[in-house]
Amino acid sequence: MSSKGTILLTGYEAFGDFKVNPSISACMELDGREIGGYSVAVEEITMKFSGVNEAIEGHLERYKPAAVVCTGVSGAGSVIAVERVAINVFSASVGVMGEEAQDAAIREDGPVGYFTTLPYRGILEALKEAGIPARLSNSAGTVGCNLVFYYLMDYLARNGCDIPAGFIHVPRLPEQALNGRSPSMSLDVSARALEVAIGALVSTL
Amino acid sequence: MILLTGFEPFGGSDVNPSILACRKLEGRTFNGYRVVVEEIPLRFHEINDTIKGHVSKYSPAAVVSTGQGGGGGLSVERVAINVGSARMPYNCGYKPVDEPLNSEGPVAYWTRLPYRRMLEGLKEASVPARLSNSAGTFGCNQIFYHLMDHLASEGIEIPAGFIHVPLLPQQALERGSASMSLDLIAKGFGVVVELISTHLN
Repeated sequence: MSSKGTILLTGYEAFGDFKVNPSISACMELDGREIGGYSVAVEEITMKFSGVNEAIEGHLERYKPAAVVCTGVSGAGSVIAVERVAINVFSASVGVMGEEAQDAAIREDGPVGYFTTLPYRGILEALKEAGIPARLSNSAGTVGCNLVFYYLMDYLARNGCDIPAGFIHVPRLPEQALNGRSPSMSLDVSARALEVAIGALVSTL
Repeated sequence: MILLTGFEPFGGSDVNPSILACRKLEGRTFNGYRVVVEEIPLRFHEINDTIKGHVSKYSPAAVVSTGQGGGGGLSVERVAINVGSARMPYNCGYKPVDEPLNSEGPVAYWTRLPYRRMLEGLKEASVPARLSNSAGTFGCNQIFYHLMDHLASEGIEIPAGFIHVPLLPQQALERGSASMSLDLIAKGFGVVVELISTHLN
C-alpha cells in the first residue's frame, strides 16, 4: 500500500549537558514507520541559531509533509508537554545555540505569536489513554525549542500551508537526572508518546 | 495617574495578595504620579469591560495589572495570549476551554513595561523576581490580554503590563508551596511604580 503522505518529525541534536538529546533519540525510534497510512520521516535539527530557519524550511520544501511535529528536550519538564504557542523572541545565554541574545525578535516583522495547529486536545486524550503523563504547556521558552516552533509556524503561515503543525517537549532521560532532583522519562515512553501523538494527529487528516 | 489593579480572592481563599499589595500603594505619589487602585472581579464575562472602564475613567499614564500566581517570586510577564482556558471555574462559575478572548484579536501581545529595568531594580531591592513567558490562560492572562488589546485598538501608547505575585504565607500552609510576605510584595510594587514613574519623566 502506498503511503498517504509524510509526517515530518524533527528532534534536536545533543548540546551542553545533553550528550544525548532524547528528542531526536525518540524520533529516531519512529523513523520510516507507517502510522495510520502515513510514513514518518525524521530529521535532526542542529542546535545552532543561524541554521535553524534554513533547516526547517528545507525539510518542509523537500518533504511537503501532511503534518509536522517538532520536538525538543525540556530540562525541567516532568511530562510530555504539547506546546500551545510560539512567540517571536529569542533570549539565550551564549553557548546554548552558538549565539547570545537577549529579547531579540526571531523575525523583525513577524507577529508576536503563533498558536499550534496540532489537534492538542485529541493528542492529550490519546496520551492519557495510553497511560503517558502529558500536559498542555503555554510556553516553549525562548531558546531553541521555541525558535524552531516559531520558524515552522511562520513559514507555514507565510506560504499559506494549512497543515497541522506544532511542537512537543519531552523530559530528560533518566541517565540525565542522576542528581536525583530533576524529573525524567525513559526513552521508550517518550518514543511511545510521539507515536501516540502522531496516531491521534493522523486520525484527523 | 498610575493605575494598579489586583484581583478579588478566588479558589477558596479569602484573600488575594495582588489586591492587598496594590492597596498598600493606593494614594501614594511617585515622581508626581498618583497611584489609583482598582479591584477586578474574577468573572470571565466582566473582566474586559471592567479594565476598559478603568482605563477610560482614569486615562492613566501607565497601567500595572497584578494577580496571584504560584511562583516563588514576582513574575513580570512578557506576553499575553489570546486564549481563556480554565482548570477551575471563575468566581462566576464559568469555565472556558480554549476560548479566544477576542475572536478577531491577534494571537499575542507583548508587555509594554520596561521589564529589564524592573528586574534589575527588584534585584537591587532584594525582592525575588523573574521574567516569565507565560501568564497562564486564566484570569491573569485574560486581563493582561484585554488590557493590551484595548490599548492597541485605541492607539494608547503607555507602559502597561502584568505582574504575578506568590501566595501569602498563610495561603501556603496546607499546600506547602512557595510564599512571600505582603510587605515584600508591596515593596516590589513600590520599586516597579517608582521605576515606571521615572521612565515616564
